[in-house]
Amino acid sequence: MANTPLHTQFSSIQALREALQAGQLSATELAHSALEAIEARKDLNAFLHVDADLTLEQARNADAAIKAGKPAALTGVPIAHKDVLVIKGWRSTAASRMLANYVSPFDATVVSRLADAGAVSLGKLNCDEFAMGSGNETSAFGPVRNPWDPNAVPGGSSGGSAAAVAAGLVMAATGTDTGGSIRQPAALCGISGIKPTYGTVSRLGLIAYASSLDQAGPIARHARDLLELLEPMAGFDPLDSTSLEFCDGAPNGPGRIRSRFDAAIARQQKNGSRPLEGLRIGVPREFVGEGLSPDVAQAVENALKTFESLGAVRVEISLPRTELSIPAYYVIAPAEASSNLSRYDGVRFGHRAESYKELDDMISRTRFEGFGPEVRRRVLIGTYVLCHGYYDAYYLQAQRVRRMIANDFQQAFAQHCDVIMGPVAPTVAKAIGDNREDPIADWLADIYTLGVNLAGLPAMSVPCGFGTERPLPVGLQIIGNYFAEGELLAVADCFQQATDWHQRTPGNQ
Amino acid sequence: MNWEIVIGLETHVQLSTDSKIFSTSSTRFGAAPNTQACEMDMALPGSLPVMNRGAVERAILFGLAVGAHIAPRS
Repeated sequence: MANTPLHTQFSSIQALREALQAGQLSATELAHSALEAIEARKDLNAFLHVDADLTLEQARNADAAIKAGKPAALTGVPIAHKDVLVIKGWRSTAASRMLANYVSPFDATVVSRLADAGAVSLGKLNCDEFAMGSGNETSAFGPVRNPWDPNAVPGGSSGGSAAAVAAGLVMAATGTDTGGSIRQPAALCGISGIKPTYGTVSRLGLIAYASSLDQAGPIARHARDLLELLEPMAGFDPLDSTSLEFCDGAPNGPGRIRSRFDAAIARQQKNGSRPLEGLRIGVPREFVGEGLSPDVAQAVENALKTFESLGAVRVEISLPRTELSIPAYYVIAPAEASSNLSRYDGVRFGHRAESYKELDDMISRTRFEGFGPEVRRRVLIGTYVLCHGYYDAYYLQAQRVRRMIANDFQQAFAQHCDVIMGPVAPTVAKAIGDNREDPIADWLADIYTLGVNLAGLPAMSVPCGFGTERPLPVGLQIIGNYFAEGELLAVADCFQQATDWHQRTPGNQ
Repeated sequence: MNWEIVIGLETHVQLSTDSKIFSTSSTRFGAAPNTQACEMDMALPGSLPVMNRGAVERAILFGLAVGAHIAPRS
């Protein structure tokens, strides 16, 4: 490929950091080459906003920090942010017409933490509108193309993030995951992603979709790079009331995830040729049954065999309410969305209809023009289920189901297994435009990812093979108990030491 | 019929906190227009409310003053 950015010569953020700090290349050179590559791959539509001046200024600061002998963990590393995270000075659109020209006066906490760690931002990444979608097709600014097949979706809602990393345009990217929006696009684009435990990463500056489910996390090639980003992203934030001060008794701060990762890796090394000796992998029978396409099932099965060869044991478990996670999620998330999106009325900021009669007319025209069909659908559903008279039947009932789903996971971890594994999505990436007449079909495909958000658990996706009918990537989902991000990443790392799926790139299968 | 009369009072009180109940903006009376509003008050995208600790303390004090039961967790 022409315009291969310089950072793609490095297999990990650690290797890139060493080269930067040894003066083998500069952050400015890296930024220039990434900007050129982004320009050359405009066909992917992965980026919504690029500002070379802002990026190069950050890169120059990174070079100055290295020169002064004061580099931070990510100094000079080229990344990009999903456009639901607000950044001062950059347009923050949530891929919606409603916020097409909106510029935030403040930074999201995860953005400022990554900036403090020295990362250089290459821009804002396309996604589904307000993160509502699983194919990046609801973006007001056009679909993103999957780097493995221009006619396939990259998944969503963090589709731009996954496509940008898979195409090698940036080393890593931020995403957000409300119902699978990090794991599913990572799976469909053949890269890795992690949704951390709810409450470990600040939501301040994350344009809210469903506040009790939203959680930001990183997308990168492999587990070790995920750790490099997640470590600075996570941490207590007094400005987010759902942010946790402590996780399993340890302060939610620097080193929490890395120390558990390091301890897990040390245990693996002690076990010699069977590093995962004794690890119990729960495979929910509800995840591998009807509805799962045979080629995804085969890739997941092969991955489980690899884990067994590494010393792990497989245990069949049951998450009996897996099917109920779909109706529960599609009541709770729209209910919260209808409340969170009520602020977009055209009065204070964002889009306002040009012609209208009275105030009510202005608000309804503004919202009709500003929101796309999927956002309108969810706002309508959410408003309906919260209506006086329906509240008990829908919202309250969904909250009860949510509690039962969380309990099912806890029972599995308490009695049967250390981690849970299965597919991320039932099929490989669909073609752009499929299901256009049937939005419910996309919702049903979220079946393996929604329960994790309802329970608030950490979970990740790692590449584990390709489809046979269409040679597109398949992802393996690894779910852990609360605060087990370090252990999850160590399990994923062990798999990635034994396989090379994460090293495959489009055009180099 | 034997009715029992029960009368409830709903009382609104302006608290003596320095800042608003869900944001850090000042509550000073008589300040210039638009000088006591922040991202949260405008509901700007990404902003989040944070409960004013002083307001909770005053609510607890009131509860104690009228002999009410205070839930240690909610």
